Amino acid sequence: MNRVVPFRIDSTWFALPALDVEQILEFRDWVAIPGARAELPGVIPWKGEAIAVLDLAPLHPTLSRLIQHERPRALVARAGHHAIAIPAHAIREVREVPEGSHSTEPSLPPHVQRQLSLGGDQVALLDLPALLRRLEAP
Amino acid sequence: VTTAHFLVIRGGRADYAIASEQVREILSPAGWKGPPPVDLGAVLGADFAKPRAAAKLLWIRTAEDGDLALQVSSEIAFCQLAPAEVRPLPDLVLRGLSRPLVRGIVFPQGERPLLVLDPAALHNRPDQR
Repeated sequence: MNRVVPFRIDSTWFALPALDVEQILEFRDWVAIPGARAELPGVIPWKGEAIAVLDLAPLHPTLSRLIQHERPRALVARAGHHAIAIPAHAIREVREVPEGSHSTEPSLPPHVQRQLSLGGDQVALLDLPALLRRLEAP
Repeated sequence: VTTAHFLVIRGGRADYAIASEQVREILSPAGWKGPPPVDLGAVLGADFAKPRAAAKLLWIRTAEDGDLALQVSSEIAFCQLAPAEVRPLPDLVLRGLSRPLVRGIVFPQGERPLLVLDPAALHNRPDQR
C-alpha cells in the first residue's frame, strides 16, 4: 500500500505521496515576487528560508488562480533539493491506497501519476519530481 | 561589513529596499532632467494600487547601465540589514526571469516582508526597449 495526503483546491482533489510531504501549515500571507511566473507567483518563509509557493491553477485551467487569504492551509513538499508550498482549501488525513504504476492514460498531464478514487472523490495523484522538472524548464 | 544601509519604500503587503549606495539623490519629479523615469508602482503592480505619498524620484546609479530615475509615490524610510538576513529567492522562482528585479527577501519578525531590489534590472525591462 502507498500512503497519500489528499488536498482540495476549489472542488478538485489532488494528492501527494505522504513521503513527499514535510509539513502542513496554516497559510496566511505569501509574498508576490514581481515578474515571477504564474505557477510560482511568490514565496513564504519556512525554516529560515524563502520557499516557492506553487499555484496549480495554471497547470489545471479549471482551478481559480491563487489570491491572498483564500486558501487557509498549505502542504510543504520536497523533492530533491526543492521545497515548495502548495496552498489548498482543504487537506485530509493520510490515506492508504493500493500501489500502482504511472498511468499511461493520454488525457492525464505528465505530472499526474494516476487518478484515484477516494471516498467517492476522484483524486489526481501528483508526481512531484515530474512536476518540479516541468517547473524547472525555462 | 556587518550591516548594509537600505532605503525602504513602503508597499502594501511588503516593503521594498534598495541599497543606499545605489541611490544618488531623492528629488522632486520637477527637478529631473534625464530620461523618462520608471514608475516603480507600475513595475511592482498591485502592491502599489494607490499612491500613498507625493511622488518623488530616486536617482539611481547602476554600475553597468548608468543612471536611472525611479518614480515612487510611497513613504520612504531607511534601515540597516546584516547580509545574512537577506535570504535568496528559491531557484525555482528565479528560473525564467532573465534578470530578476528582486535580489533577496527579508522576513523581519512581526513585520512585513522586505524585498531587496536590484534596480539595474529595470534598465532592461521589455517595456523600456
